Amino acid sequence: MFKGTTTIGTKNYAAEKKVLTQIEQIGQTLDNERMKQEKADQNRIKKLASRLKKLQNEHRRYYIPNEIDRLYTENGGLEMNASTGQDVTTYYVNLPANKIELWARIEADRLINPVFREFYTERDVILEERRQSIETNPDGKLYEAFMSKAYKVHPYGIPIIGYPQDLTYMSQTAIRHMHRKYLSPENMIIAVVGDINPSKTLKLINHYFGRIPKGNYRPTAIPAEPPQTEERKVEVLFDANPSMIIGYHKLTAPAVEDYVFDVLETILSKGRTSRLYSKLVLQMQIADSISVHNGMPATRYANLFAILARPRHPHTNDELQAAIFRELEILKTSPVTDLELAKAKNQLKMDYVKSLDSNSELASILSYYELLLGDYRYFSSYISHIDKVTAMDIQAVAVKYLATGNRTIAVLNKKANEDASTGKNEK
Amino acid sequence: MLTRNRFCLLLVGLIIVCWATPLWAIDLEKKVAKAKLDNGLTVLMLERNSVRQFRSISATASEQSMKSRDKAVLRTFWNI
Repeated sequence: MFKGTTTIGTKNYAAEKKVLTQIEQIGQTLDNERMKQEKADQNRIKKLASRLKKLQNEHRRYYIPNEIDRLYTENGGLEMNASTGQDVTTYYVNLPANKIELWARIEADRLINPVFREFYTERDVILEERRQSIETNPDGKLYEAFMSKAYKVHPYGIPIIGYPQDLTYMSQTAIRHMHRKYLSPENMIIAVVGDINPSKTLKLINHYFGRIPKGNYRPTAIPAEPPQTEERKVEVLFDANPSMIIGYHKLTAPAVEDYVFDVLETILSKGRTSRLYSKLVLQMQIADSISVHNGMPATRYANLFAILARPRHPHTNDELQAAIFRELEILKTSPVTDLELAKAKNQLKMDYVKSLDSNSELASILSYYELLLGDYRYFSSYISHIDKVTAMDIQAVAVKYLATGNRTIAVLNKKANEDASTGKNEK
Repeated sequence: MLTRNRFCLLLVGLIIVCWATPLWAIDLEKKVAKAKLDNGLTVLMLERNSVRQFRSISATASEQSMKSRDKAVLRTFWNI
């Protein structure tokens, strides 16, 4: 998507297109040959790779790199970027209000006339990104193992970046299919926040984005994750300091329990006076760090209440785990204090107010909840729901959800010296 | 005395922030304009004054980072 359109990022699209078509043909033939693995003709691979390289060099004569970025920057644009999570892909930019038409022209053009330039180079970049962030990264490796253990059926168990086998032979045809299916107007939200005139802005958006044809988008049926009935464990061996993730399945927003878990997350780990931090990091000194997250990995479907922690040397994952479980048991037997509850609610309110300060943050939040929950007003009613949470509610969710049978534990332990192999052992 | 005055100021600040919260919420709900184009595209628009627009433009990249809770979860703790 960041490689321009038929008019942006090219010196001569008619000539460029011929080269791009050849690149795709040779690239696909090369992939097909490589897919044969041990039966592949190495001579043919060599010839095809050399031909592909020549065509890629030829393509550089027509391609203008980063032209969209330059257009935005020259017009006062900032922080143009994109992010992809388990639920949504977001494209965003901050621009002066009088440049909104420029934005509409560029973005509508990207959606209507995208050109996937430098496809094979980008594919290699993503594979390298995966190697760096997961395969050679202890935290990434632990997280991947944890998610695939916690989700047996639901695609939340699949990493956002995908697996190497998905990426290695990914074709441009697949990318075009994804683009047509998911970046269709019915599946898209535009949020504009700032010094705008809404009626004029809507006219402008309608003029540029209204041209995008309907995509006949039909949501894919996503299988629900069956209820977990027994504790799951996975161990990752890696040459790194120990760490762990403990997760419990729970309902997602706008279920009442989700607000309760937001308050519980704050009570347990937000700030130095929070329960887990003060007890395990400061008082007992058995944890190096501890963090609690409600809503891992995303919001659209039932998700996890997760605890991420690192033991402090010489303490072990087992010791820290036992201490965390003791704290969670206390939640089930005695209600949190009024002071803890009030403090957590104030912190959440403060975060809420802070998030209103930035236009880009607001645009992101509005579009996110509109897309996922079908109503951006989830955000504006958030504080009133938080206010209703009681100590009894917290105790009730602790009893119901923080149960052994609903728990997944992933631990990363240091690989013993004599064990030269890498990988994970499942218990 | 100085410490006490500072504490009072902080308290007043907090009260103002907390009091302002529901106003923001109401304001936000009223001011967001929602429209659906013929092709099914949903558009949300929120008009805000130019001072805040300027503040947003000068915001740091970190303010941008919470694009969704999906990513924030990992970035916060382990910077994956």
